[in-house]
Amino acid sequence: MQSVISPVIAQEIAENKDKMIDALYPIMGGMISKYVTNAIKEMMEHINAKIEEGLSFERYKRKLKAKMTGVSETEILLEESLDATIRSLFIIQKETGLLVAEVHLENREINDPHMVASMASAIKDFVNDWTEKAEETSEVQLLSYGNATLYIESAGSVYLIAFLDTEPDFEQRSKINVFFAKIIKKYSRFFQDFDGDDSAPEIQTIEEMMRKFLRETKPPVPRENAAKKNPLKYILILFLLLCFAYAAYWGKGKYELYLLEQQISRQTGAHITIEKENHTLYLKGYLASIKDFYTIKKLIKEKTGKDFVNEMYLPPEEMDQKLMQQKKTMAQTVKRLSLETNRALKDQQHTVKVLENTLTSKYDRLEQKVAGLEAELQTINTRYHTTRKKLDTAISISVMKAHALEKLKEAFSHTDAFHPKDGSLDFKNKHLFEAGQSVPKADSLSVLKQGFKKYITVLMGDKQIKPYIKGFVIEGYTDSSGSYDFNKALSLERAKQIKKYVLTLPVSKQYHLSKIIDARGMADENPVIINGVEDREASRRIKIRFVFNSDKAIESIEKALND
Amino acid sequence: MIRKKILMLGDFAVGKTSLVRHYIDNTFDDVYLTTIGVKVSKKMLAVNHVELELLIWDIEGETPSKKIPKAYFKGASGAIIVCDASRKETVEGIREHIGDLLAFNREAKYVIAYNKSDLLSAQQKETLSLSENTFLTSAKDGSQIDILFTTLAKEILL
Repeated sequence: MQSVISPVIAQEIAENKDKMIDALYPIMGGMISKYVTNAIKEMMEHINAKIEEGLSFERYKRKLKAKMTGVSETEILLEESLDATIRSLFIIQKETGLLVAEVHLENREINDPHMVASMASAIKDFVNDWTEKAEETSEVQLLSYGNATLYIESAGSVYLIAFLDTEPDFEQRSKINVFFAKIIKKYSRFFQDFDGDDSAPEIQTIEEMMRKFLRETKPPVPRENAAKKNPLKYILILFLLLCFAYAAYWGKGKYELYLLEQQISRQTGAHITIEKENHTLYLKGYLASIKDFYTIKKLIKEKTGKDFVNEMYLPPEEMDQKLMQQKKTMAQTVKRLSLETNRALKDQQHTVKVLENTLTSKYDRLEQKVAGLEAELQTINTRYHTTRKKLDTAISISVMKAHALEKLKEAFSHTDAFHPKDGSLDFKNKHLFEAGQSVPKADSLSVLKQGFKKYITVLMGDKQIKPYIKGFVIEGYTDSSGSYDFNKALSLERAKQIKKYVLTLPVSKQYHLSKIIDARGMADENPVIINGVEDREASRRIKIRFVFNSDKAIESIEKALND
Repeated sequence: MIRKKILMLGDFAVGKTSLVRHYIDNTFDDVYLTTIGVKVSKKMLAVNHVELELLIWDIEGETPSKKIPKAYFKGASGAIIVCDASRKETVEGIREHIGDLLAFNREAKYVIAYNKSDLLSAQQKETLSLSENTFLTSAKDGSQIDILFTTLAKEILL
């Protein structure tokens, strides 16, 4: 049978929506009507309650509303009576269909609420599935059957079902929605994590909120013998109460002033009247002395914390005396204050003067110190520039000397006669002199001539080197035989002989050497030693070396730099 | 008390409703099942001193002409997959039902009921290879129905 019935139902659903609704009605209605009572009866009770309100404020309010809106009072009464009564509220977790929280009106409890919640959830899912297939996007929100209605509002992971006796109007729906939104906002996380455990403390709080909402939305219960209330009675009582309160307030103030007057009379003997107007006290009467005035002033201040307006008469003579006394006291005070001020000012002026002198002196000393430092700085600066200039010159001379030595080394690279260290050309193997003779041997002169010419040309022929050449020195040497004095004289003579010879050469004339060649006797210094034995013939020789401008300066600067 | 939603899943006419009817405390009328494809019943039980109420969603077996809303499957903590032990095609459908369950509830537990076991001979019963969570049940003689539900309840509370 099932296999036959099911396709038929499905086909019917697909073909006709109305038939679908007709098929669902007995199902949903049976369940809903089980829990909802007779709405008509409730409505009648409600209307009766309204009528019995009689002369209540509600009636006047309704009358006023009718006048303002133009709608008859009867229509308003009927509209109020048609408000749906919420019997139960369920909050159900969407996915599981588990009932999270439930509340009911008194004596309206639902049997097996958890099963009802699950079944309602299933019906909702079924209808939603059906409407989705019918390409309607909205979820089912209202299920009605006869005089029973389920209002369903969905949000987040739960939905709320309100069981009502009739369809709720827009205002009621709004109230339910606002309440539901409030709960969702506070407990959305709890609803999401709800795992079916009904011992969670949040459930009690939620149900308390729901109960409160039910109470607030519950229509008034009709009272059969309720006494009719007359608003005029309340207004009269209220008026009398206000009068009494004002009288009490007024009497209390008067009594306090009377007590004060009595106290003044006891202390001063004067009969003074005190009046109060706009929170200000006015004192009237006659005083025997100024002293009494100050006694009263002090007393008023103590008792009321206020000043007062004086309308009391004081004795004129005493007033004049008092004023004179006050004037005198004030003049003395002014004079004393003036003297004290002048003294203080003078003290301060003196202090300022001392301070000024001290500061001036300090400033002068500092200025001198600064001038001294500036002069010292100037000296250091000058010395720095001088030294810097010398250093620059020395560097350029040194560079040029190195350049000259390099050129000579290159020119005499084929022989060991050239000494790169001091730049001299040593004719030690040329057999220039016989022993004891100062005149050079004739056959050795050509070698001397060639060597000298080349040496001079390398240096004087270079335009960069030439300006730095101060002169040349011809040093004469002897072998180590003989005394020092003899050798000194002989070596000098040998140097002179060679100088005389080289000055005859064209190259000397070309570079004007006559005034810049010097001859020196070196005696037997630096003899030529070969294998530990002196080569006497070689020791008898001459050396030619150049002298650079500022040679001494370079030496001293180099020494300073090394130090 | 803890409440859990469980599903009864299985092909058409394998005896799901009969199993439920044999076991539960209270239920709605069967008319719901034929109309909207599901009927809710409840069963209260104590497992390891924990009070548990099972809300049993007896979902009608789907046929080509009658589709069941997939929303019914959502939020279930477990399911009893039922087949007719005497009909091979319903046994073969078990895998599909397990797939449906786990597609919507990845953490869900399930047990399998080879129902109508009273129709099987002793020899046929021996040839069946049953795993730990598979039971030979019969709504007719009530065999192994309690243990079927209790086993699922324990699995859910683990």
